[in-house]
Amino acid sequence: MEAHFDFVWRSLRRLGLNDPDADDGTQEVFLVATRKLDQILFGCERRFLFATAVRVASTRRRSLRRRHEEQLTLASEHECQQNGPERLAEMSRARHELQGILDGMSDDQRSVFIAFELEEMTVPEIAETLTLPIGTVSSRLRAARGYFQSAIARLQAQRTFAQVRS
Amino acid sequence: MTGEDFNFRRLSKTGNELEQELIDSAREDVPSAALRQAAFERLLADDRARRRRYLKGGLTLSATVLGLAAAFVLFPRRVTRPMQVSPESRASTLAVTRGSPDGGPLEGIPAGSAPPPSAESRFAACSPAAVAEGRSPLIDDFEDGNTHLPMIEHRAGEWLTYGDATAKQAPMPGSPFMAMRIPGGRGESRYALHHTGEKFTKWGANLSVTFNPRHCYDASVYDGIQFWARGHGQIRVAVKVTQVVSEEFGGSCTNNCFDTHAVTIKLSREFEHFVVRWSELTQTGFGEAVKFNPHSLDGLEFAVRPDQTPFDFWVDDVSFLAH
Repeated sequence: MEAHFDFVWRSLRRLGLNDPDADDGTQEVFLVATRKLDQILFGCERRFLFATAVRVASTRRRSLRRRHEEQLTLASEHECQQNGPERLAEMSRARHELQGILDGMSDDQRSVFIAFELEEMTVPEIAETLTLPIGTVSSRLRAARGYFQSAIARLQAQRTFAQVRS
Repeated sequence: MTGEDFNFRRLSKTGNELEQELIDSAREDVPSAALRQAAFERLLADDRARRRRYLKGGLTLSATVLGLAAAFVLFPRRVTRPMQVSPESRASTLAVTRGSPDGGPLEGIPAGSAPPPSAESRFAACSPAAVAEGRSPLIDDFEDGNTHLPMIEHRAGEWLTYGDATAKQAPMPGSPFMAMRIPGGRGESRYALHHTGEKFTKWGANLSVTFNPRHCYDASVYDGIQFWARGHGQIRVAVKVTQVVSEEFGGSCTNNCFDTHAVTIKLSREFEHFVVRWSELTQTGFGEAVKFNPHSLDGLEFAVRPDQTPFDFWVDDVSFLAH
């Protein structure tokens, strides 16, 4: 659990859950995992956890009405110790922007994109994890990357414009 | 074989500066140490609870088998008429718990000794019943993280959710779930039940618990129930008597069932303490009028009607109300 805890929590956050929901979701994922330990193949723990996280996030995202009072993401103790305030602010802003882009993707594209780009799983691994044909994973990834790159271009333009104005 | 073999190069290596910045920011996002610790504790608690449940299940099965064998040997001729089980009786064939100090079966009696259904007896206390002695009113504080009622005063039920299936709800009906960590906590309380759902269109969604799945429950020693809750909109707090529960689910109702005795409460964003006395509970009126009888309870439910959906509420520290 220790080895994969950050991975599961991070995946749930990027899959669109806010902090409290990601906390609960992480525990839910590991609860499922402990109950199905006998079904998890040795060496495939990460895939099982990611597949479970996708399902948990999907259920929660659809069922939970987004709380209006969504709180700002607070920096963790670890981050506070490791980074200065400026760096923390940059990271927080970058995460916020990334989340905005991910939220604009379809659920199918987002889970493939997160698995490949953020968690560095391979295409065959993703296909096995999400029980999809490799071709489907590739096409979803291609579409997700296209969306991501066009969003990045817009973001870049906004930043440039802001710099020019300031 | 790697992702690069499929003509994809990871953006973290080949992307522009902004792409790499965003991806790196996500990779450096880590949960707090406190969360990690809480998750460990919760899993351990769940594991312990499961072990206890398996052990109890094994003991109950053994006791039932022994009871059946004893009844077969001791009472072969005493049952002279066909076995007849009152609809009110949700007991298994032999065991009764009345008077049992520890909740286990005490003595075996033939099921045929339960009173036959009649117009009058349908509204009498169910027999045999699991009886609350009045010493421990707590129904569930959820601090063990699981959804099983603590084994207090013969209570042995489990929380579950169900709905009219016109929308999604979490926890999902039929799936195991657990109490959730309260964001920010509530005093010393750390866990509570969290129920959410989308827009329902028929009769809504429920969070429910049966006090004892094998017996009706006599809580006449108490005056009502109390709990803490927060959320938005209104929910109905219903205490089900067996007379409004359909036969299919162990009650005695045959027509227009589940017109439960309930009150409607309005939730707010902060946790509030609610007290519901037996005397405040009323039926909606679509079913047969039944006098509320705390000697013959089935369970408790928090119901959301379609006009109050989508919904999102928390429930914590549910207990009976002592005199």
